[in-house]
Amino acid sequence: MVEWGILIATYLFLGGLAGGLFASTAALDAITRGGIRRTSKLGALVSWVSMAIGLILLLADLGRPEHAFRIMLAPHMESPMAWGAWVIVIFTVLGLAYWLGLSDFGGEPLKPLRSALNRIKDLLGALGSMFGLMTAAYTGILLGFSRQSLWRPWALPVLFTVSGIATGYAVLMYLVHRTGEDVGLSPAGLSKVELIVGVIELLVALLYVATIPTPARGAIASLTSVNGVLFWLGFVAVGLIIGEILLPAISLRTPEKAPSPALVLTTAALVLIGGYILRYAVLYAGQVA
Amino acid sequence: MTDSSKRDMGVKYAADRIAIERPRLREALDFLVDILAVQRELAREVVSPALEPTLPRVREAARRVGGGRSLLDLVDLPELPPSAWEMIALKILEVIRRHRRDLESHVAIVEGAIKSKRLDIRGLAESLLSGGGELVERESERLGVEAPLMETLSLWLAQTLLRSLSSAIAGEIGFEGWREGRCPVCGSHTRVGYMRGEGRKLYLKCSVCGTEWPFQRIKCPFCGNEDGQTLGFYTLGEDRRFRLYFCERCGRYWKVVDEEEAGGQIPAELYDVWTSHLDAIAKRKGLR
Amino acid sequence: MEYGVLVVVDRCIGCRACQVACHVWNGTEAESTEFSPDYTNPPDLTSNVWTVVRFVEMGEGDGLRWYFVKRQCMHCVEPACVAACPTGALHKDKDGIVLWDSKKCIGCRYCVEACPYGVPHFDPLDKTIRKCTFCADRVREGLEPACVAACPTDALIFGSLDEIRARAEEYRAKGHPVYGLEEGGGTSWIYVFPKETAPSDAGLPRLGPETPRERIDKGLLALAMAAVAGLAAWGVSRGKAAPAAQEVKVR
Ligand code: SF4
Ligand code: SF4
Ligand code: SF4
Ligand SMILES: [Zn+2]
Ligand SMILES: [Zn+2]
Repeated sequence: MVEWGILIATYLFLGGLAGGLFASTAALDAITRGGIRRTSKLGALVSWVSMAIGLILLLADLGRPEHAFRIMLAPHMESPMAWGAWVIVIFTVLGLAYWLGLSDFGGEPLKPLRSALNRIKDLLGALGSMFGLMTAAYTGILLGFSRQSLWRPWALPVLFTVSGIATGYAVLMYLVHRTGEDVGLSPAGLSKVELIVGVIELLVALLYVATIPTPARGAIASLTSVNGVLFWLGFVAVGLIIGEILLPAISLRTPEKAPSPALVLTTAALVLIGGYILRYAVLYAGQVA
Repeated sequence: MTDSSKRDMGVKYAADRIAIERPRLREALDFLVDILAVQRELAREVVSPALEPTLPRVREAARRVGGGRSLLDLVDLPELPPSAWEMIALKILEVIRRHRRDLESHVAIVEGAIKSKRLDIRGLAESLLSGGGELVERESERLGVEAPLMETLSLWLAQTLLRSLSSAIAGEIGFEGWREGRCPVCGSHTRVGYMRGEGRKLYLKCSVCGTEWPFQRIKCPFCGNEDGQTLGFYTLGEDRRFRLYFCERCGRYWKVVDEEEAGGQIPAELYDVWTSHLDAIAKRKGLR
Repeated sequence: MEYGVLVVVDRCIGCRACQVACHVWNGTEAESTEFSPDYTNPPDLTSNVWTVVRFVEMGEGDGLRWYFVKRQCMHCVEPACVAACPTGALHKDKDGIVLWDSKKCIGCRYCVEACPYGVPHFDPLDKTIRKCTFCADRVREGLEPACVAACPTDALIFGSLDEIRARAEEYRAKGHPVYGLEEGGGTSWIYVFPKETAPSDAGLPRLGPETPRERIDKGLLALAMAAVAGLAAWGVSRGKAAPAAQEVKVR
């Protein structure tokens, strides 16, 4: 029986995306020493909005959302969901603060706050990256504390984290393209990062499938099930091999030239679709295995 | 599992619920649960088949119940073959034996009398209905057994037959013409009732045959008094589940379970025992 | 004192009296609309079906026969459901009974996913989790659980957990497979299987001795590693930037 459905799948995806996007944004911002203010601002905002939507979906999935405050105010701290909720809330606050420090939001009255936040931007970026990746990993750890054999391999949180980074990075590349800011790295360098993340993710994905105990593995490893088709075609073939490996490799062939807008957009779209399908397939297959 | 064993189980667990609330009733409840189950079994296996031939006549009479005349005012108590009476009596003695080890020697005497056909079983059952206790007294004296044992036996004998009868004609009696506090089937008086549904409609339940019939809320089932000034009820503090009604004109009381408050977990068969604490209160207040 | 029940699978005749008893006592009967009213074979536990007798095939050909394994909450010694519950709605009491507090349940269904036995189910009407209560309202009053009281063959034995464990050990010494002494940290309902059968054939999960607490610790470790990775990623990026920035300054 499917207890956790589409809302949770989307939430898992958005959590990973938000975490990965923030970490990528803060890293690129650090490399450029704050030289890509518009990109960073956008990256932080998209990350924050993703996380916020994810949280709304999470609430919507609860049987009694009006009681959700208990997780924060009277949590049973042993529960992974309780500490996960704290991680996410802290991440959300850090993300908002980071964005505010870069933005003009609130005009004159908020100026002191904004400049204060801007002054501690490094701290916010470091902590935000930390809590961002914790959020991405947590989406996998959450599933790992369950009876579902498909969710228990330790490679799953790793896969979700790497996938979060990949999706976040793909969005960031699109934002860089949109703002046209100089990131101080060559287009080839940027594509290379994407390619490396893609190869790592592919390896982790294969490792994950290999470490699922045999009777349950078929639910996702076999092409005879819907989830198996989704996993191999949607996630591995389209999202990973084409989106994260082949397309970046194509841009690498013309190292000096920035990739075409169509290519950037296609790459981001494929990676996002793949990342989403990953969460969906694992979540559903886990409950039928 | 059959429906009847499910039903027995329901009664058994309801008794557990009562016993959790009032542990002192434990033994009485176990006794009651046992006899109810045995009576149901006897009704199914012995009485119903034997009643079959007389049913058309009884059903016809049931439709004429009214104007103060109960079913047994209109027809004689149906006949059962002596072997059936014997079987019923022996089964009932088994139940008594299980719960009253202290009466073992008396039970054995009665059992011997039944097996040697020296006891008028049908007579005992009828004597309860005719209200005359002489036969019971006479028989217990003759056999040298405790009178209460004989009384219990005669009540349960009559009950076994009457319960079958009551359920066989359920649905045949129109209660519109019945405004009595007496049972429309066996004519016994009862002091147990319940209120059911939104409007808290009052029903009385016969403690002998189990028949249930609607009754006016402001009326004494014993003397028919309808004067609201002289009728009233007590409740037990915060506990609104039970009402102890009384009539100042005749000094009698009756016990009513408010099912809207009590929920449906206890079957009406157990209401009399469930409300037994009201009997003590009534006694203290000088009610009969 | 903690309570326990020994399920002696050999003695169960599959009559389902326990199922009926559970419905009758807990009043779960009326709401179960998904099943035939006589409870023949509800396929699984639900929020209204707290116990179910599972029919398991054994042997082959002429030797084919059935045995029957009652399922309900195991009242685990270290319950995964309790560990998972983010609000403490599910809790294990001193007498070993695992209960829920509907007022605290937020309906996240984490317990549903966490329980190794698929026991808790969310009730969309009650908006809370529901499952076997070990008949706490009976056993705390000195009665046996309703299902135990109903069993006609004494396949279910109620007692203190220590006593039940000792009995299970005896059976094990005689060569019976036993389930619940160690699995996942142990359970309060312990099963004695017929010789030559395996608990896993009856759908009981093969759990190692790893307890929920130990698994959570691994989760925390993973979380810490993610934190380090996040910090490191930022730190390395920052480190890359530094020389370039200084060069700019020098020039
Ligand atoms: S069997 Fe499941 S629901 Fe019952 S205590 Fe164990 S983990 Fe909790
Ligand atoms: S569904 Fe309720 S009982 Fe289960 S883990 Fe969530 S809050 Fe706790
Ligand atoms: S202990 Fe009570 S709640 Fe649990 S299965 Fe038995 S009867 Fe049902
Ligand atoms: Zn009557
Ligand atoms: Zn009166």
